[in-house]
Amino acid sequence: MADPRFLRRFPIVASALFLTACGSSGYSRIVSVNPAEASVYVNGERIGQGSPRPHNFDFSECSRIYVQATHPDYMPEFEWFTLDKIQEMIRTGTEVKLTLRSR
Amino acid sequence: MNSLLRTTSLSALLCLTACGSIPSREFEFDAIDVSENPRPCLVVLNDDWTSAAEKNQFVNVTDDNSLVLKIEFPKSPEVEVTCAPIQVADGKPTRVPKSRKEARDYSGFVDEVRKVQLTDPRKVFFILPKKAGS
Repeated sequence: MADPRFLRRFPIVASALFLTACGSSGYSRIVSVNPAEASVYVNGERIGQGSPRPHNFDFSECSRIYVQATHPDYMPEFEWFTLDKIQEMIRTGTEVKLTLRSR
Repeated sequence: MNSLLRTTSLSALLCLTACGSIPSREFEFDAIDVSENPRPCLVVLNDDWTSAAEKNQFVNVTDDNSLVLKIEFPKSPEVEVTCAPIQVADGKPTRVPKSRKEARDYSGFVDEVRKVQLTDPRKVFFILPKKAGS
């Protein structure tokens, strides 16, 4: 006979596991930019400015993802990321970092 | 990441496009400058400047507006897209460039060329720097 406490908690634990599985459709990587004041865009959408931040690289709807960074005093930067490249970066512990060149 | 889901959805996309005669897909184009202001541009596919002008493939000319184009991939898995900066006055291009050099020389901004693939993200976004000395 199963423990009644386990039976009460099972639906909660199962729901938590299900929600975790649903939300894991991507690879989280820290995205940073130099200079830190530069704005960062992923697939054409602005994701922020300033300090490094985690971003979920989701390849469910595209085969590659691009990251751009811009600052008024620098040349803009652009980089493609494929699934293989992101997996290799995870394996080697490499962050996504874009460094802008002065104009 | 569920690689099976990814592979299945991308395969489905490729199969669906393969069933038609020519693989094609809609893309949305937009452009800004390094200060993140909308930048008026002409979107040129595979260096066909004449068609781009005839079909009014402009972004940010009358307002902050993007351009949606259905792109066909008849022979190559990639299409070359040139985002050519233009000058605008009273909601109209003052001059429609016929080459990358003309676009650069006349607008004071630098164009960008990008190879776009069928399974790329829908939004094709350009950030154009000013030409040196501008």
